[in-house]
Amino acid sequence: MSNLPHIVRQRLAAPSSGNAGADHPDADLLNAFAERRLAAPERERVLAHLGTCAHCREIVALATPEEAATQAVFTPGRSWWSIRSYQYGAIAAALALVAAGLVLLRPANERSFVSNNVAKVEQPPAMPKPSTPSADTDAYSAAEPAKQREAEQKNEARGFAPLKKDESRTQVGGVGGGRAFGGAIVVQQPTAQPPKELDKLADNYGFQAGNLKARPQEKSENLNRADTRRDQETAQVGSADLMTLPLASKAAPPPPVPAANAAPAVAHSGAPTGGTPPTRSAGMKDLSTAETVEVTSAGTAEAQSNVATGALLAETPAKRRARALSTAAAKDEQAKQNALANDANYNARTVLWRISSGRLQQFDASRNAYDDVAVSGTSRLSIVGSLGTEVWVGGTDGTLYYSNDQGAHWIPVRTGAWSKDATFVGLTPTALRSVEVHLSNGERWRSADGGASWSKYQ
Amino acid sequence: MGVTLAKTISLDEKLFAQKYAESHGADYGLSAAQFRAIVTGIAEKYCSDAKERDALFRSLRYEELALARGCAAGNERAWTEFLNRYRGKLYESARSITRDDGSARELADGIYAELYGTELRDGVRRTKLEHYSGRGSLEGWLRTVLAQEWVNRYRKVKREVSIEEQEEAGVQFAANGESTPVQIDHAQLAVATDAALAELSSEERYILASYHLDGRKLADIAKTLGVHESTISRKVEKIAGQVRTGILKHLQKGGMSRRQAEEALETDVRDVQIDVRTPLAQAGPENLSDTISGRGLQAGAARAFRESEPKQ
Repeated sequence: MSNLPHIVRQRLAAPSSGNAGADHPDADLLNAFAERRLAAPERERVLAHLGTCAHCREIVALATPEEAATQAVFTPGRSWWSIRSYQYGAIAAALALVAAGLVLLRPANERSFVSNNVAKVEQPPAMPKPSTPSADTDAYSAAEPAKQREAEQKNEARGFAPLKKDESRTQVGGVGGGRAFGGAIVVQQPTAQPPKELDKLADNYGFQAGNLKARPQEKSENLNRADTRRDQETAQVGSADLMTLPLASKAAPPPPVPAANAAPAVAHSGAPTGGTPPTRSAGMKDLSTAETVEVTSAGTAEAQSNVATGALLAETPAKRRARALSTAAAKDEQAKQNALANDANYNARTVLWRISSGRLQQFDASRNAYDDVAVSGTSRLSIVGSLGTEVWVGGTDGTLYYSNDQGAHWIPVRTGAWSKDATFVGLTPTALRSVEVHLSNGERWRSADGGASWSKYQ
Repeated sequence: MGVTLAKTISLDEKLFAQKYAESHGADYGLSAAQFRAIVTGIAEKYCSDAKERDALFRSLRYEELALARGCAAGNERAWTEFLNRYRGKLYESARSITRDDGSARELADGIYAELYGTELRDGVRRTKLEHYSGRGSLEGWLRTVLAQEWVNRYRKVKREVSIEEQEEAGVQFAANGESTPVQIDHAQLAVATDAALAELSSEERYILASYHLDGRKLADIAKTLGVHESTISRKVEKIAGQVRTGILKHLQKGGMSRRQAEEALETDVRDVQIDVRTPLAQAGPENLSDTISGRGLQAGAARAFRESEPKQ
């Protein structure tokens, strides 16, 4: 640093005529200056005083908050590599090259595995159509017939069973997550998601399936098992569709399996009514031991577009689907096994819930039908989530109800935490007495004490 | 006073009602009228026009202002809240200022007394919290008050330190008499320097003074001004060059040539850390021409220094 001539130091230290007799700024002004809350003219005045007053400079230096250091502005020039899109682009390009190389180097007979596998795929049992198809389903089918047909054709070409419109949008109650789509609930087909989304979904799936996430070691084993199998069991495609929900009762006759039963424990309102709720059949083959692949549904049009997105990556869509589905299946199975190990009455006490026309409905396995459940007088309900005997129901006016006895009694969760105008759009019971909710205003809250206290999270 | 001000300064009623509700002033025993008087008083003190007032009204920290004024009014709930929130922070701030636990406690306790108000004026307890205006955070204001008190105490104590103590601390005093540097008339240089300094902006002068006079670190100055350290580093260099150029320019305006101006600036005797009297006295007629320039002066001084050394 350059030296300053002594005369400059001397003159700088001498009080200037303008400020020699001036009053010092009060603590308020000095503090506002240190916190950078002064408007430009006032800041200029304070700076002018500070330039000539060592006393006030010292006070400001002592009073400047430590955290101000973290607010220091630094805008270094951006290198081209700092632009994320380039980074991702480079990675994607590298992966695409590797994938292309692998495909070209493979023998011809292996390259045509998809068409070979088609022959191994068994068609799923015919699904009975709901006796009273919902308005939502009809609306959907009327709105997108061409898209639907196109998707079915594509699925057939891939060796999938044709997608039945009623099946593909059957709302389910159980474990997992549903997604509103055009007024109806579309249970996402995990089979055609890009890997990351699939893994996430699988995580979600395993997590929500009775909230009994596999222990790390078991999870790892399941994943390894699935990985080693996946090349051989390409026919596992669509197997996640068989991952359905815990039975209402083991003694109940196995109901038919709907096509799009990705098995969420959360059900939204506005979903089609009627039809048999998806459950895991006692007689159904376990995913982890299935020798014959049963394809019960194909991807939706949306799923097809996701496949196209995922094509950039190295894995072929079929392999990717198989890997993710086997992971999800393993997690689901592990969760169930854990639940059974921990609670002998797990199956008996697990029931299915759904929201229909703003009302909560519970599945009656003996009659193979849903019954209304009274929760509150006037609230229109929007979402339900269950875990074991605990059920959480959210409404459209910020209301939330909690039951720890399979809906026999309901406790209104009264809190001023969120707006009364907000609607519950997401609800995930995460553990005993614990739930995470997502509101229409974007807020997310969680409670770990049955709704007594809530904390906001991102 | 508050009523008068309330009449003279217009305050957006909707905004005020909202801010009053947010401030929880009612919880601290402040009525809307009292709070209005406080706010308008602050506007009167700091703002000269309606635009500034509007900006001020929107930027004030109403909640902390209400708390401080509630405390000043002796509201028990306000004091409870104040102590809960700021007791620990006050000691922490004092500790960061004094860097010593004992001094920090002493400083903070002293400020506590002033905040509570021990002085009675016209039968009314006067408290320092009446001076908080909500322009910055209450925590920052407390820290500034502590800093003010600490600087005042330090300066006061510094004046009282005995010469013996200073000697023990290693301070050396200039001896009177012969070794005093020759006082040369630097009037022209001083005028040119003042003119060059006057051309600096407030911020530039602040940076220059903070760095060269106070010896503050670049990082500390940067922290105060909210910029990066490297920015201050560049500015210090630039300002020093700017001042030097300015001085030269003003010296030249005063009739000096460029070279004379440079020599005048460079040969400031206070920059030369040796006694110049001897070489000046010893400078014979043959050296007179040398002594005109700064280079000659330094050469003469060096020569005198060499000659003064004991010969082997």
